[in-house]
Amino acid sequence: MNRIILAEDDPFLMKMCRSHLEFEGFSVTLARDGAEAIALIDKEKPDILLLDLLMPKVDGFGVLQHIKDKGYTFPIFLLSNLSVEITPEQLDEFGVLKCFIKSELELEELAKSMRKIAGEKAKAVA
Amino acid sequence: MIPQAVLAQRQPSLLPAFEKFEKKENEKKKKLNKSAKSRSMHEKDTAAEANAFLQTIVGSISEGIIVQSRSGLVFANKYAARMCGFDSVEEYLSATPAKIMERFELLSEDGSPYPLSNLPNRRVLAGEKVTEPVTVRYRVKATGEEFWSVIRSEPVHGPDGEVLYALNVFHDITKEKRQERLSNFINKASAVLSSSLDHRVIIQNVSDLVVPDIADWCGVTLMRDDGTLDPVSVVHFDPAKVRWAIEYREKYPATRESSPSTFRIIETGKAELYKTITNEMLEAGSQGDPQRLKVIQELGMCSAMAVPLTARGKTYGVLSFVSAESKRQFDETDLSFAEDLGRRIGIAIANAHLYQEARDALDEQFTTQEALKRSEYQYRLLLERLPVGAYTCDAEGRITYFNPQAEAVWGRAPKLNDLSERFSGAFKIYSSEGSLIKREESWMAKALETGHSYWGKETVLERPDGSRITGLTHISPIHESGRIVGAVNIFVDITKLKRVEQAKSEFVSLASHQLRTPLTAVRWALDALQSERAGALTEFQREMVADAAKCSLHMSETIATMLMISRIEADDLELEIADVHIAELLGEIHSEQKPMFHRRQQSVSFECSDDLVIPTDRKILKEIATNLVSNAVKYTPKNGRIRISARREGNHFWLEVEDNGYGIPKDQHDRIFTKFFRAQNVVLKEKEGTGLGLYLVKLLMDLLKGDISFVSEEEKGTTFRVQISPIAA
Repeated sequence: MNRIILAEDDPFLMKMCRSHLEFEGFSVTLARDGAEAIALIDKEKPDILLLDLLMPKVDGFGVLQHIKDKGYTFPIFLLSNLSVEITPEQLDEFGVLKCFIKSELELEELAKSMRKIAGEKAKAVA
Repeated sequence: MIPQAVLAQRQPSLLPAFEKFEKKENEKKKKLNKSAKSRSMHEKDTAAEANAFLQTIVGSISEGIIVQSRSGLVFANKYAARMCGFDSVEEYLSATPAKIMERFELLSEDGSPYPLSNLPNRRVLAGEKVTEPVTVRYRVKATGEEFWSVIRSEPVHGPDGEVLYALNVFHDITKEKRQERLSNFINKASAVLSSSLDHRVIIQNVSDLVVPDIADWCGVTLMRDDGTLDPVSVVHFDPAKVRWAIEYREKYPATRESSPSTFRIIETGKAELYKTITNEMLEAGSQGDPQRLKVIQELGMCSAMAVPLTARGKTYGVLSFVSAESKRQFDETDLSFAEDLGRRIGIAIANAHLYQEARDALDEQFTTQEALKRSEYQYRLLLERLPVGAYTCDAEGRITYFNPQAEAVWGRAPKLNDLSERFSGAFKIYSSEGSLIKREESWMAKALETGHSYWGKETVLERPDGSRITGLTHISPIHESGRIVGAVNIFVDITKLKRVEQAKSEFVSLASHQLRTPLTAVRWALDALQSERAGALTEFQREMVADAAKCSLHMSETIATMLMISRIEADDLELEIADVHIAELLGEIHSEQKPMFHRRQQSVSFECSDDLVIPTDRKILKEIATNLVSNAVKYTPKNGRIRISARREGNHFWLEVEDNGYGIPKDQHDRIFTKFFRAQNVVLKEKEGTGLGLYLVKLLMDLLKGDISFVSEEEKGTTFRVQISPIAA
């Protein structure tokens, strides 16, 4: 219960995030753009998806629509630095658990949320 | 003996009697031829009889007959004596010619003195052959009466052919002449009455005609609307007397007491004749003022008449005639003429008033029409010159006018007054969301239906070439007499503005992303370093990393604040109203700020009842509260005290953030809500402030339509007070 797909186009953020999560014991697969994220998801559904909104080729909304169309169900967290936030209705529509504002996010807080979801999932499976 | 010819001309009915008498005399003569004594006696009897018969016949002739010799009158009938102002024939015959002439003024028809030598009787006695009758006008000095006579004179020859007598017949044509004069006057007056539509001019001109032919004084008094009298004109042939009369009237204005007859005539509409003006009348007019009486008496008024000026049932005033110097005496004939003149003047005044009313109405209509034309012209000009599109529709939505700018925006010129092009000249209309709008559902159609104005409505207009523009429309219906007669639409092309707004919004979004993303990377890297996941740090390294982390946080906060301010200023922030649980909100802020006030060892208290809920925008309220609490923590020294409280009072929500920190210097109170302001007393103490926090708070308070105030004293602390009225969701 520790496979995370991290879809983030910024190399520095991607590196920092992966580093911290792997330090926390998660297995992190990277996708540099929305198209890569869709391909990875279709190949092997993750335990948790960390999805950046602003990405080249296919943006975060495109990926969410693909997931919805496919009917995939796995925990999704959005990462955004847009000045416009996502509305609660949009979160509900795509089954997003939370949207983190990267500039306000502590990596430790992110890791904490991942641990919590992973723990819940483990209990559910059990 | 009277020439038979004269008798035949003047009294043909007496001819048979005269012929009978003559025949009888001839028979008598024949019988008495033989005796001289008898003849003499008979002749005496005959003469006496003849004289008596003559007197009887001549006396019954209603014409003046006199027979005069060069030494005087030898015969006159009663009529002649009366015409000359004598009570009897005997008195008349005993008077000398000079005495007789003293009684008269002989005048020509035009009123100029008539030379005595021109009289036909004198000419006949002088041996002149006078075949034509002569018309003479004469005035009896004693009474002022005027008469006209046609005089015929025939010579009576003696046995040797010498003219012994002049036989004069005076035919009185006074009545006809007066009638003729009055008719002529009426004709002249009619011409004057129709020469002007100004009633004052009419009155003055007619009064001038009256004097001196009809009267010595002529005056017109009109009644004003307030019931007072207006002495419009007074005329006399002597200008000095006119001036006197005007001054007199100014000194003694006509009142009901002083001029009862004037008021009576106006009120009754009946004329009044004063054949002879008595002293009692003058005394009444002077109202017991002896000086005034003396003045009136000196005028020598002897006869007067006053007539109403009436027309169409209304009496406008009084026309007065007074005889003074001429001593003429007015009678019923004069009064009848005066009443006729009064009616004519009344009609002229009524017509003048009607004309003036019609003229005023026309002027007003003309002025209104001119004003309307001017107004229409100015309106058109205004619409033509507007830098934005404008068009008008009638009540059915047909386009009645559009300006050049509208045509430019539409990219076409719609058909005017055509039902197929109702409500808009655009090819197609869309909402701001992009859905097609039917013409019948457009804002113009709504305005014509409801009669309401619709301002600031965003609409997308499509041109025939497919290009689109975004317009902001302002539609106002036009009402007339309580019904909608049309509407005007002024619309502004805001396409560029929208693009700019969108570009700004995109820029802000992009800037937010592009600035925040690397900062996030920096912060996460510093976090990693600080947590020593990347390896242990020396003390010095730890301090450096800590400083770098603080700077990066400061930069993040500044960017976040600036971006939010940009969004507010770009009108890009929409309120999301919902019930906000205040205790929960303050709890979140407490959690988020706890590391800070723990670090500074400050005591922070939150006071709020658990059931306090207000409808507002949660994010914005949290931003406000966070900024205020953050400021309180920042600007209160170590071990300081901060109190945050929230309560509800009626329909108002109060949030207070109180600290015992550095305070704000009094001379800087008026600047604390301005951009980048930081009070001088804290700049050196605290390096972390951006100077944007309170500016942002003020903007956000304006969005919520709330109010923010504060009290502060340097070195004592500051209390910020926020008041929000609950906003309906």
